[in-house]
Amino acid sequence: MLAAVACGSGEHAAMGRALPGLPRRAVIDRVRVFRLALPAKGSIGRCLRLTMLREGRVLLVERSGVVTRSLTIARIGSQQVFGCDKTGASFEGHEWCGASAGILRNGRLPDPRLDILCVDRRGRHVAAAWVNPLPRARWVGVDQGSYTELYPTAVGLPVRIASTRGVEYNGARATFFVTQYGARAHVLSRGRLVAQVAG
Amino acid sequence: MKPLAAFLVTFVVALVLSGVTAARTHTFQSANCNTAAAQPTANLTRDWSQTYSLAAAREGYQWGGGCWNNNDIDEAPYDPPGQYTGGEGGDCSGLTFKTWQESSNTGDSWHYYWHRLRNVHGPYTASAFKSGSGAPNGTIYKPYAGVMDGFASDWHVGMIFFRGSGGWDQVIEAKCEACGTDIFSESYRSQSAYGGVRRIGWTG
Repeated sequence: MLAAVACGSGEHAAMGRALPGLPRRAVIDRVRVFRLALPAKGSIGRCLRLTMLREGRVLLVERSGVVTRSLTIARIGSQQVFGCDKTGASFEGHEWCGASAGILRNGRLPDPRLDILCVDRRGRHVAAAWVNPLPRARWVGVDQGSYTELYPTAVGLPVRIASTRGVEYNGARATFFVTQYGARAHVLSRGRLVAQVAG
Repeated sequence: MKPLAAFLVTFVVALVLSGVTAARTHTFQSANCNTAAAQPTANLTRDWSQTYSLAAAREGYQWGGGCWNNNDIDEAPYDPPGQYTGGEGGDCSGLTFKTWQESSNTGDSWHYYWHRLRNVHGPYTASAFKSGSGAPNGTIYKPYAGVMDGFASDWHVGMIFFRGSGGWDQVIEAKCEACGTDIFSESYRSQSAYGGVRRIGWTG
């Protein structure tokens, strides 16, 4: 039986349960889902001010991972999805270094909405993008080199992933190695996601 | 004779297959675009930027793209929307990045000339332009937005080619695969989803 191990601080990544089938060195990110009536204050409010969302109710997925903390926000009753990313290193004095927007088509984003504006505390470029989870996917795994970061899926929304690997900053492009796992930790799909800054 | 015939058949088959492969991988971008370094320039004028952007008009649209010639023909029409396929044209943020002569380095606000056939998009999305991300970019109160300032939403960005009236402007923009890149009459100035954006550091 293989165990997922924590990597990074407990604040960012939760120690995984024993999960047969998952990669040997895996970090399971923390995810929180909640509904919110706008306007919002605090950190979430600062993210929302980077989007066109000003009022109404939103569904919010907050992810705390090794590379980034992210918000994925869906306006209830709308196909619009917004996201914010932060690394702990501010960008031009802003807490959230990246903001993205996408429109769902049949519940999926046609484009990963890559953002490469963030850097981490070591000055490395960070690429963040959305992955459409497969219908039975429980985790989206991203190869981070020495470990795999596992992003739990939540409420069927695209999963915001991030990495410092495979970032071609001058080409405004990033390549992620993504594996989707089902509830029994079996592999549903495995492949490269090549994303381009666009739109 | 038999080995020679086998060789000829194999040779012809290989030739055909290599042609098929070449046709599949040949794109406007791979055939025409380059990776030349950007050239620092002393000046950044609005009228120069108008002329530069006009070369992109009627050259098509490419999601995530930033390379075009100046023959008023889209050499890669009917690209699948929302996918980068190496076709001709910029997308909205790529056109804005090159027209505003920006650096890929977000902390560098100096002006850099990118040849139209230099395939570069830049690190900004429309959403990033909207929030004034990067040292060269800022926001502007929409009533003050003039020629070669822009309007950006979470989904799109365009630059004012001629200032209009009644909330309308002539906007140069890479709009979509079906509509291409051109000057369009737009009411972005009066739409709440759009904010005013500007290049910082015009010299004229």
